[in-house]
Amino acid sequence: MEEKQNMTEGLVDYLCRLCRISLTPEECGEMKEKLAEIVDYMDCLRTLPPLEDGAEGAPCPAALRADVVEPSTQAEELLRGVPGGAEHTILVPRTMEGGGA
Amino acid sequence: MMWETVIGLETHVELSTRSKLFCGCSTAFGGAPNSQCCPVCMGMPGALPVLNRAVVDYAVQVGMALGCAITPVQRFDRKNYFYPDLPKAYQISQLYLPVGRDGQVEIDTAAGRKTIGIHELHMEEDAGKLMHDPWLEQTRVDYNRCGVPLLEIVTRPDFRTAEEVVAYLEKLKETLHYLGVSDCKMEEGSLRCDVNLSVRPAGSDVLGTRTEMKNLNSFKAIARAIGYEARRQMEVLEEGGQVVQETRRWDENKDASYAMRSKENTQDYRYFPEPDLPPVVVSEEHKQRLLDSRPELGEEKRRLYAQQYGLPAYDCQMLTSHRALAAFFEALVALGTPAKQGANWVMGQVLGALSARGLAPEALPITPPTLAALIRMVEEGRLNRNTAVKVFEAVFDQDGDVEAYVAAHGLEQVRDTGVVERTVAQVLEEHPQPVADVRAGKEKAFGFLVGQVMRRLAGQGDPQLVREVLQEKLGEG
Amino acid sequence: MTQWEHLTALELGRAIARGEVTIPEVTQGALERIAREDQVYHSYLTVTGEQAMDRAHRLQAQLAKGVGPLYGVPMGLKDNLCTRGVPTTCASKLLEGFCPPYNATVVERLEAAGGVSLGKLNMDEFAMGSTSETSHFGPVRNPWDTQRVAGGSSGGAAAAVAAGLGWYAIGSDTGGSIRQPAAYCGVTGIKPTYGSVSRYGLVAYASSLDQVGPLGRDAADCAAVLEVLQGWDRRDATSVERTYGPLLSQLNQPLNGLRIGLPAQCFPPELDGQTARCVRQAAQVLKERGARIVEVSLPGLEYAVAAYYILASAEASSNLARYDGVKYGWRAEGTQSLEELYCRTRTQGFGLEAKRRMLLGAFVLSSGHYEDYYRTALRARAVIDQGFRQAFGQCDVLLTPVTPAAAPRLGESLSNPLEMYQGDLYTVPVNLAGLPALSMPCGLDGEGLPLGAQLIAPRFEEGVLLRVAHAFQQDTAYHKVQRRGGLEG
Repeated sequence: MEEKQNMTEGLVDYLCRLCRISLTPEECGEMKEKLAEIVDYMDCLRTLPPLEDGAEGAPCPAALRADVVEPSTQAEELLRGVPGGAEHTILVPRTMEGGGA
Repeated sequence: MMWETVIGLETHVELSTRSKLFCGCSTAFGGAPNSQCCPVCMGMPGALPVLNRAVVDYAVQVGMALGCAITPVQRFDRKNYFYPDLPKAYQISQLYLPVGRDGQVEIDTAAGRKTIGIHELHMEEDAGKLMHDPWLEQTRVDYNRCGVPLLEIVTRPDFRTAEEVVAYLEKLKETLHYLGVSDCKMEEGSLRCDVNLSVRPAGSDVLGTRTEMKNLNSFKAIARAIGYEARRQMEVLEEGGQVVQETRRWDENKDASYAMRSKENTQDYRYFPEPDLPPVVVSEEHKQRLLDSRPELGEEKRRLYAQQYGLPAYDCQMLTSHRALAAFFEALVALGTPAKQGANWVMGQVLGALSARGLAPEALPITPPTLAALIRMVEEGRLNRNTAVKVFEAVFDQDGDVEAYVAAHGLEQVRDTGVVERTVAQVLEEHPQPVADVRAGKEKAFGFLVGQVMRRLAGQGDPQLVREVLQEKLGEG
Repeated sequence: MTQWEHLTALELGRAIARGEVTIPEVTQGALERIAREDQVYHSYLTVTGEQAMDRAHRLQAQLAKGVGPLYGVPMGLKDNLCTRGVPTTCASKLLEGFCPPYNATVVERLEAAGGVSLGKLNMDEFAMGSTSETSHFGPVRNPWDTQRVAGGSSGGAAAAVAAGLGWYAIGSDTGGSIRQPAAYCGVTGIKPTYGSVSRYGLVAYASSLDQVGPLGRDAADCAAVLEVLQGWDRRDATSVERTYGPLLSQLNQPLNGLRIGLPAQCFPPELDGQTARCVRQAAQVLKERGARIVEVSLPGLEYAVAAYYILASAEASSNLARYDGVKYGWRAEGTQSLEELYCRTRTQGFGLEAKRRMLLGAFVLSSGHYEDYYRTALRARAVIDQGFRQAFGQCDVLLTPVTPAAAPRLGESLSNPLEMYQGDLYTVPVNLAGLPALSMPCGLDGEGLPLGAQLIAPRFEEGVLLRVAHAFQQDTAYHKVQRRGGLEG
């Protein structure tokens, strides 16, 4: 680990935006304190020894499935709990053009 | 100021597997909204992805066909961001250990052959569809396409012209088509292309600031967009400004691109290895098995046709323009049709009939045995070519029996020497002037006489025989 | 009716099979008991009384020779296990009232084995916590002392078993969430080898660490339940085909020369005296049973808590991103834009601890920090894994404390999250290495509160864990001691 970045309220704000949550200024200050403590504690990893060769072990290969269509048995129920009273249709407030990616 | 345009492409290919990348939902097009979903592709709590083996096979095939080094132990990674078409709020993609890297594609343009570098190639899942409701301030979300398998192919910034880009895309389309892994239809969205473009002073080796262009729905649009954007950037720079790194949307109607309203300029996707999916191991044996079962690619066929059948380059190109067409041609040859004859018929009548009916080669109703039989009849002199063409049209749609048709309509060429001699004698009697002309050396009159004989024979005379007999008779004083 | 509540799950199963008691009778009894007593403990979030009785009657009618050992035995399911048509809230406002359209694989297996679910058990919100106080619907209280926590995140599961509100329970363990509440509540619990029990239908907290496992009155009960739960599932790509074979039938195998390792790093001078004493006494009991006690070294432990919280919060921040009010669950009303929908739903829907972990997770994954934190934590994980392999070179099973001390009082832990995290130092290394581990009661502290001992084995050696615990429980009665004011009344 190179130089540490200090936990600031600005950084907490940025992280909140990434997670789509918002904190009041008071909550933000509190959160900054606690996160700073926790992240400081993580410094103990600085003394981590190097890994021995072969320590990672052989990868356990993925179980693959055949390319077969299996319709969902829950098709009807999947949309039953859609919030916003939309029942069977998923609606959100109008989005801007352009994607997230 | 002389400028150079530098272009790189990111192409997304929808793979034509039956089921989605991580679940058993159907990938079929056109279902009612949210009718092809399950807990996995809808991102419900507790649902988990399971990898479709066909996607791995297709991806590795494409990687090898594009000359890439295939990563022996691959992993998936999560790309985290929020958008309603992404139910899990992350896309399962590959960043650190993709399917393949460092490949190349050879393209042919007017300027000659060129190699385009492939930076990397990876698997990822598609997102859902958003349908904006113009009346309400709402957007409908349809997850049917969510989880459909995509292959993303990223080139190095090796292109310099729109022509090169189109040549590459044609080549890529052909390769994917021959491998049978995708429909590759830009109009249907199974082939999507984003163009990264920058300009720099000619001779410089420093890359300029690039923009990314989206919403390019045809090769023509790509060519126009490249032209527009290159000019736009050059103008900006010539006026002393700076090109802004941004994503732009191509508007076909306005023939221009516009900066997309970006929420944040650079997204922090927080990529990390997908913990729900163990690594994908691709062994040497697996790769060999795939190579052994790989269908011949267009380029390979063209070489074969030239070497084995001695066909000219033009013919080879036409015949391999579509996999089904090449297959048809090869079947003809396998049934004994001489290669050049077969090629001519396929390039001529077959393509013509398809075009007239607006059919794709996969939908060819006539089968190789039928056409082979027809061609054989011509070779054997039992049908003249004009008649054969008519028979072809007649049997094309139902793949009818050529022997039966010819017999039923009495179309077999007239080769009875007696009949021909009598007809020739008749014609010579009725047309003394042309006869005199021929004897005087006027060749056109000979053709006229041949025509007259053929008419009498309802077009079914063997032209060779008719000529011979005519000549003989004319020669006899 | 009350005589049945003293039985273990296996004993009840045998009584049912022999016709000594009917399934509806014991189910009814359990439901009445829950109605009478659970207001205090708040171990259940949803009681599925009608369904339980329906099922009890049907199972009774189909009772025949050769049914499984747990046929007809009522139990509870932690509320992060998807149950079709039954609310699965993960103790969060975001999933209040959410009824999944499918069952978790483990739920299907339990149903096939004749299990009767009494309802869904309270927990820390989205399984993030060590006290079950972060539940949106109110905390779980420890049946041993209702002013204390039951532990977390499977606090409801542990409390229910301890209070006799079900004969066993199914919990989940990511960093100790089965073992620690088991220790705090004086019951037995086991976290199986990673990949041996399907996670399909378990609402994910940290995917590479989560496992489902049983809590019960003794090791034999846990063995019986684990036999039902284990097995490869095609719907979970991280589940493995290898199994640990039959567990119940191996329980009574003698310990002849089995080496039990006590890692020096787990018994530092600052460890609470009573805890250390109880665990070492457990070693003695096992020695008298034929085991050999060896002192071993377990290097790498000092990195475990940091590595765990980096990896777990990173995965959690991603796993919890799907709760946005769009497709299912709770949605904030009256939002004008998409961003407002996301932000208000998640801000109002998540509790403080969940938010903290998500922010921490976003931090360790964000560009500029990924290498320093996340990738370093992965290396630490490999170092810890290496450490265990080294220790298992010298012994067959490790014996350690579960927690540094007995259950704390309610309200004392949440204000100091770092201290709370550090209390997980004995349990998190096990999840990082994907090993199986069991927690069993081994004594009481000075205030009469339960203390637990942890047994850790190499992957797929659950049989060893259960045999050792079973042997211990043949010679001791800690697992039989009822909570103060307990079943005896």
